[in-house]
This record gives sequence, C-alpha cells and structure tokens, in this order.
Amino acid sequence: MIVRMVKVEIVGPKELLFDAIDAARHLGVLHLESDPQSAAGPDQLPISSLQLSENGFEERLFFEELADKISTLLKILPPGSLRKSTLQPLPVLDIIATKAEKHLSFCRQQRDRLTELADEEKELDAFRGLLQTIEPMLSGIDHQHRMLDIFGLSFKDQESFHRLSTLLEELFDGEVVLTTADTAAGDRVGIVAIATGAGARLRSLLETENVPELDFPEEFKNGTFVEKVHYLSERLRQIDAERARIKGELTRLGQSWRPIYQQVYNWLSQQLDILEASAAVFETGMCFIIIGWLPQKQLERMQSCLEQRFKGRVTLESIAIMESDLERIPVALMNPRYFKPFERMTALLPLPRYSSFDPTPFLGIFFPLFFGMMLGDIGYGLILILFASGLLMRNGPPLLLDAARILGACGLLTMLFGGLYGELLGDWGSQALGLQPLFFERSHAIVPMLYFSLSVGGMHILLGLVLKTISSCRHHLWKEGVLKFLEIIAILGLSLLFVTFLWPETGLEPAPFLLLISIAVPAMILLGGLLAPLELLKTVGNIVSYARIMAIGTTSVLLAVIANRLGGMTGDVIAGLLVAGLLHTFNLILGVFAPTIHALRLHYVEFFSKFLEVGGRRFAPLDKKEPD
Amino acid sequence: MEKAYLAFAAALAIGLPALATAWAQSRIGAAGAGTLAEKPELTGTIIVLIAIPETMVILGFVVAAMILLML
Repeated sequence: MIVRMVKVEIVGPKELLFDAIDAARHLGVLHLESDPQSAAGPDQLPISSLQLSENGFEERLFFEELADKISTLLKILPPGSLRKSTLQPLPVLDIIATKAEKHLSFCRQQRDRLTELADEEKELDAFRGLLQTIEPMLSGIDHQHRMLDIFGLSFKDQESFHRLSTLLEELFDGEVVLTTADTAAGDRVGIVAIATGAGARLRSLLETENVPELDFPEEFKNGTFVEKVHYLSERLRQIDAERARIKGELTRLGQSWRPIYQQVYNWLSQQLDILEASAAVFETGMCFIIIGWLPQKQLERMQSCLEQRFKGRVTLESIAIMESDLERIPVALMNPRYFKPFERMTALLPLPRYSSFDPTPFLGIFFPLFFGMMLGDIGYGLILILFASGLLMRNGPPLLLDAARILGACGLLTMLFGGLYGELLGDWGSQALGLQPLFFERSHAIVPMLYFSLSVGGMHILLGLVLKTISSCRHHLWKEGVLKFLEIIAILGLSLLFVTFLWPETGLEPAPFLLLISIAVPAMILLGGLLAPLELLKTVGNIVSYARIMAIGTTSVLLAVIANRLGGMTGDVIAGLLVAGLLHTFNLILGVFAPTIHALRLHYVEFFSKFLEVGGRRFAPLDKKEPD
Repeated sequence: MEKAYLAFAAALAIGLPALATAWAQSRIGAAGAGTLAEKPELTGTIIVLIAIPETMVILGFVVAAMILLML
C-alpha cells in the first residue's frame, strides 16, 4: 500500500531553526520540500529561500573541509580501539582541526611509504623462493672454499645440467664444484664455484651451452653473485622491518586518536546534515518556514514532540494538498508482513506515483499463483517448502530470507496445483500411489490447460483495466475512464463470443455479444480516435501471452514424466533412482527459474502496463544517522 | 500423407519462432551483458527483458500443439 501523506508547514522564529531541524531529524519522518512553488501554498505568502549569513557559509565550508580531512584520516588509521570518546567537539574544534592537519600529513607520508614498500616487495617477492633455495647451498660452499668465484645458474632441463656438468669437469680438470637444487616453484637452479680468475672461461662455456646466469633486479646488478644474494636477502628483511615499524606507529596513533576523530566526525556529519536541510527552508522577515511531507499516522506524534520541546514557539500544521502537488508527493510503501518480501520484486520497477497503486499486493497474490500453476507438482512443492524452511532457519542476510519467504509461498501453491493436476514427481504419484487429478491431467489435457491459462489471463488483465478505470475516475479523467470501461465491455464480449463458438452446447447465442462488441468498438473510436481499437488488439495480445502458463507447465510435467521413464528403463533400482533423481533435480531447477521469470514478466509487461503509473518520488525523510 | 503435412506444419510453427527468439535473445543478451557491466543493479530488469522474446516460441508451441491436437 502507498502510505497516505500529509503536507505540513513548520513555522517558528528564526533563532530556533536549527533546533527545529534537529527535532525533525530525531523523529526521522519528515520529507523536506524545497520547491518554492509547492511551498507558496494557497495563501501565496511572501516567503523566500533561506539565505545563509556569511558566517554561516564560512562555518559550513570549515565543517565540510574538516569532515573531509577526518574522513581520510579514519580511512588510513587502522581500526583497533573500541574505546568511545566522550569529548564535546564544539569547544575544541580549532585544536582538533590543527591536530587533524598534522596527523593527516603524517599519515599520508606513512601511507605513501607503505605503498612504495609494497611495490618494491612485490617486485622482489619473485626472488623469495630462489633465496630459500640458494642460501643454504651458498653457505655450504662459502665455508669450505674461501678463494672462489661463485656463479648462479638456471637450467632449462635435466639434460642441460648433465651436459654442463661433464663439460665443466673436462674444462677445469675437476677443480670445480657444481651443486643444484629445485626451487619451490619447480625450477632447477645451480651454483658453480671455480678458482678466482677462471670466470671468463666459464662465461664463454655458459654462452656456448646456452645456460643463463640467474637474473637479479636492476638495483642489484653490481657486485658478485654472493653479494647480490646477500643484498637481496638483506633488503627483504629491511622492508619487513620498516613496514612493521610504520604499522606500529599508525596503530599507536589510532589507539590514541581514532575514538576522538570518530566522535568529532559524527558530530560534524550531524551539523552538516542540519545545514544541508536548511537549504530547503524558507523565511520571512522574522520566521522560518519548513514545508514538508509526513506520513499521516505520524502527524500527531510530531506535533506533540514539537510542542513539548518548544512550548508553542514552533508550530506544525497540516496544509491543503493542491492539484499541482500531486506530482511532488513522496511515495513510501508499507505492506503487511506477507507482502513485504514481494517489495523486492516491485523494486525492480520505477516507484509508482502517489496517485497510482502499489503493485506489491498484486504481486504477492498472483506471483505465487502463476508460479504454482506452471510448476504444479506436490513433490516439487514440498521440496521447495523444505528448502525455504531451511533457508529461514539459517537466519541469513535479509535478501535471502525474503527470497525464502517468496519461495515458501510459491512452494505452497505448487503443492496445491500439484494436487489439482494429480502430479507427484510427474506421473510417479498416479502410477505408484494411484493419485488422481482433481482438475485435469496436464500431460494429456493440453487444450483444456490452454483455455484455463487464457481464462486466468483474461481475468488478470480485466482486473488491471478495472483498476485503471477506478484510478481515472478518481482523478476525474472521465474520458479515459469511459474508454477503459468500453475496453472491458469489448474484452468481455469477445471472450463470451469465443465461448459460444467453442462450446455451442452451453446454449449461449453469439448475437448479444456481437451487438455488445459492435457498440463498444465504435464508441471507443468515437472517444479515443482510430488508435483506440489498436489498444484493444494490444490487450487481446496481452491475454494470449498468458498461454505461456500452459506451455511452461506442459514442458515441466513432460520432463518429469521423461525422468521417471528413463529411471525405469535402467532396470536397476539404484541406477534408476540416480537417473530419475538427477533429471528431477534438473527439472526442478529449471522449474523454479522459468516460472519465476515468466510470472514476473506477465506482471511487468502485461498486467502493470494496464494501470500502473510510475515516476513517483521516493520518500526520503530527514533522519538522525547513528554514529558508526 | 496428411499426417506428415501436419507434423511438418507443427515443426515449422515451433521451429521458426524458436530461431527468431534465439536471434532476439542473443541481441538482448549481448546488450544486457554490456549494461550489467556498468549497472549491476539492473540484473532483474535484464533477466525480464531477455524473457520477453520467449513469447514468440511459446505461442509457436501453442500453435504447434493446436495443429497436432485439434486438426
């Protein structure tokens, strides 16, 4: 349902403006109206938008700037302290501003340094694994052979290692040490130690054999292999230490200052909210005037609250809603508990106008109905209910709980229609348990199911047209109302004419219905022009679109029947259960997805287009934000 | 022979709209995927938009069923 709103006017002396806004914020039910035309009201009072004084303007800028700095600071400072500050921000605001400036500059420097360290570490991280492999190998060689040149090598494969090993032995007459190991990443690396001065010969050999030396970052290019390894290892240790130091400093700063900055930030946000709200305020020479919208049920509460706080100096009165206001009335939806989850589905559409209808209750009634008509199986319905109950018991996020509630309602209707169609896991119920349909068996009654779907569609669309007729009459749009009424007559006439042709045994004569149509259609052309019958054709098309209820239902039941047949064909109980279970699961997933999409589509495209006027303004009351 | 004609007509009645639906859904799906990259909040609307051309194949199915069962 769309919440009934009242237009209110809050008037008081200018010095109480911010207190009045603060009172409205605490109640959180007032939607401010900033349109001067709407504010002028029927009396056309000489009012103008409130102009902030120079001091007020400077104050706002100062608050905004400080809030911005503190917000950045709060993002940099690590969370930790749960302590809450009891500081009153206003008397110490200047000191806080100076401190915030200094702390922000310090924190930015530290943050930039941390980013630099992270970048450098990212670059060096690729060498951590290499170091873990190389360092133990190197320490062994270092102790035993002090007068040696050491080279690090990377081998492509085992063969190149063996080949190089043999060649080295030949070239240096055994005066060489070659050790290898695999890194954690699976690369084979090696270390060659040779007598000092024999490096040129070794390099020449490596070049011939195409065995590359281990590659190091640009800044470690100079020095021997051992020095490079040492510098790299040392640099990684330095990075870790410096990062720990910076984080420690930021944590200490956060522990001391974060609660204070949080308190000041909350206070600044409140002040800025009040100042922002003051932009929608009007003034006369001595008074302020706030125009806004209030849910009718909240009127008395707000009146008594203002009376209690200001002892009659600030008054709230409801004022007349003019025709021109209709477009500006904010829209809030309030539905009973059962319909509440369906608001998620209406949220996919633009908000309805205040003068229109809330589509939620219609979705709440017809969506599970269409879903049940399409899926219609006692077994599937039971599984959906159990699944929905499981989700509800897990107490997950609100979206999931709402989805579970909708699924539960759909499951219930699926079971109900399953009983009417006599379906339990397709035809298993009728074959194993002797379940008989109360209505008709869908798999064999495609044409009756088609007529049933079209009849339901016809009633649904007619309901939409009736709602549009009511809405038009309510807004004194008589011509539109009569046109919609004629359309209803024409649709009823066409439907009954269809019945006389399909079921002549009913004894109905087509003549009266032909007459009805031949009166309604020319009258529509007379009132709505040549395009009016096109609207009628579109409506007929909309009704035919409900044939999808039959089509999707038939595919669902046929898939279930096939699942049972294939299960039976295996000739083995376990294999049969597995095959049938798998196919039923697939059918159930498909059977949840397709009816959801198509039931929604029938509402959005066919039903709502008949009566729903979208484009409403969302009700956005001025409210008190809770501190973080 | 008449049965064969009926079967052929039913196959055409569902086959051609199925191709048309597939083509329309491919276009809407591609555009929808592009939209979702920028506005993920439109997921529900896009799903419904993709379902719109299915009317063709559903009506094709109805016509095919009527050809086979009523003629």
